[in-house]
Amino acid sequence: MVSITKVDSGPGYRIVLSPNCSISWRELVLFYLATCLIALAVGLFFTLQGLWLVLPFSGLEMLALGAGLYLTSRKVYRKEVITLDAEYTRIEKGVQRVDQSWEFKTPWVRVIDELPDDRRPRRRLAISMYGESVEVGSFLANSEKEALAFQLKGCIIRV
Amino acid sequence: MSTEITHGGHDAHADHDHHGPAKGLMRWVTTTNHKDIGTLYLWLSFIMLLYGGSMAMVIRLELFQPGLQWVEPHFFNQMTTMHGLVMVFGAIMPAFVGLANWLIPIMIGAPDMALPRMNNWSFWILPFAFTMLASTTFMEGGAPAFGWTFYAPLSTTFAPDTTDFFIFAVHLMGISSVMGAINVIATILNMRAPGMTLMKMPLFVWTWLITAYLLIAVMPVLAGAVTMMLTDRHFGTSFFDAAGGGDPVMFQHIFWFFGHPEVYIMILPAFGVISAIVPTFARKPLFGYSSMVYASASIAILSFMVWAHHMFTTGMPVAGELYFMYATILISVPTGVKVFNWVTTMWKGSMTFETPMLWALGFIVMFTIGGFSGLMLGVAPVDTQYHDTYFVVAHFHYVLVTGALYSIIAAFYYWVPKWTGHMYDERLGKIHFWWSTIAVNVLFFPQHFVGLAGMPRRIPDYSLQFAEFNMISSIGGFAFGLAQVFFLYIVIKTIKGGEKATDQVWEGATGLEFEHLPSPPPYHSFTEAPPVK
Repeated sequence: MVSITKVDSGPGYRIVLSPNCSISWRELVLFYLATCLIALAVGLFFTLQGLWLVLPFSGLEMLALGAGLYLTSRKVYRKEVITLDAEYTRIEKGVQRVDQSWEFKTPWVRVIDELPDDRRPRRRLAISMYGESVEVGSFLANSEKEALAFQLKGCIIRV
Repeated sequence: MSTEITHGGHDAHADHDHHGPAKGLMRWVTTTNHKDIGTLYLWLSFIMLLYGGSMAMVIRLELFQPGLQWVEPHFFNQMTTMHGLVMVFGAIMPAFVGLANWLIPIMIGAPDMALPRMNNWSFWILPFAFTMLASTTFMEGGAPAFGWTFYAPLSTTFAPDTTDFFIFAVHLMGISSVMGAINVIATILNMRAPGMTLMKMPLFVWTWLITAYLLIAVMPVLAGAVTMMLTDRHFGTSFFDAAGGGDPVMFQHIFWFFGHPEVYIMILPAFGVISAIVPTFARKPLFGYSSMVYASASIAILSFMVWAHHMFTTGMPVAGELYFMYATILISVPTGVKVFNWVTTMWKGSMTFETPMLWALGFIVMFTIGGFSGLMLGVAPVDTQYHDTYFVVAHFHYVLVTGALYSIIAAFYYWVPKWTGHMYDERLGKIHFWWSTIAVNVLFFPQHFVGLAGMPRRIPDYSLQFAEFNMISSIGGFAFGLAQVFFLYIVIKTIKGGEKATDQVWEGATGLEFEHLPSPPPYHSFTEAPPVK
């Protein structure tokens, strides 16, 4: 998903890229909590009957489920933010906070758009300056990348 | 500023994007591809089907005539136990996990399963678990001989030393199942293509989501049960030992709290398969999609509330018997909704009877027979008479063989042209169906009669009045076993070649896998999310 907004403080754009996500974080947490509740209820039921060894396995399993859902959600809740103004182009990547960032001088920025071919079915879009290149929107569909390349070019021209 | 558009750019990243399968044996050991892992699961389940089936042949050979002919009673008990364990945990469950691996990502428009490395581990645990379990046959004391339900104290106080290997194997199978379930849940929740809302998902995906939830809910109970067996055997606890203040009947409660949902774990994905096949060959959309979803969820919820119907003869209070009887009979309502919807889908449809449809119809008719005998067993006063007789054996084989196994075979014939790009031989497929269907009824239908007449299950010898029906049953058993060897030939023939399948495969087929992927699909499918109607 691509969303482009104009920065209020001056001539500039903020482009937010995020992968397709079929469930919201809130729904996922609710699902997990409901599952924990059922697992806990089953574990406690047997503990009350004296069969307490079910409970540790319920706990271990819920930890594993939580870890699995968390790791998957890190993939789909990541974001890439490209902020453009007349001087600088900033690229920030991360999940809920900035994990990696780059800053390029906008006049020297190049948008590299590598088309898919037989060897690589995915289009590759990157922002580069002086040989340093940062891929953006690797999780986007080819059609979204094509539109983004066009929009990026337009934004850079306008600032 | 400049914009650079390049064609055929190549760097290390590109290689990562488009690597195909590795070559040789290591492809299968290290693969994280959902199709490869699905294939591995399906082959493992086939091997286990033949292994468990060979034990069934030993059982039917011994029961061909009254008296002891071929095996010792203790070995006979090992065969019944291992047959049940291998068929439940080795054949049916892995086959459905294999189908899930192959189909869920391509049905929801995802590039792969959510946790591919864990997917690899969850498969590769299983061959070790089953090798360990099978190896107990050759150890001192022999394989487990206490029945697949491993009731205490047979599995604790009176069990051979090899039971520890059994416990470890069950733990490994449980870990594998839990990892598979977590993967299915994470994939379905997080990785659906844009527009693939929950109520647009194919029913196979829905039924698997519910199945995965059931697995998550009951696997700790199984793990706890076998661990308590272990501590009772070696660490001085008395969970199930009356002499130490424990209660052996509690073992039955804990086992069936796991065991009854386990039955639905083995049949819910089958409902999903049939719900895909029937509309295709009736050339009509599935009747009552949302009621199918709610019926599946209702069956899953009810499956937690009926476990003690397996224990009517343990001496529970009448109020308990009444509750479990009514709750059990209640399950026939959502199950009836499903059968009604399949029949209504076919009603005035433009029906054709290709091999997958024949297996699906066989499922609907014979699973319903198994359902009706289940209803009979659910009635507490009647069950007191039928309990532990061959009637129960007939019932659960109609549910698991002509139910679960038939749906797996139907799924194979339905999706194999998509998987391999080759059509199977229609004539051989139909021979396989009719051969199996006649044989399976010759095998299991007489078991209703001997059961009602009082023949107990799990015995190597029987009274003379059961001789004719047992001989007929054994002949059916040998014929059914041979039919599945014939199926192996069809599978290999189809993989090796055959008429080229079209992308849609079947005229009435719908769904992302038929509408947006070629046959066979590329190694990495849906690298870009497909449009969802």
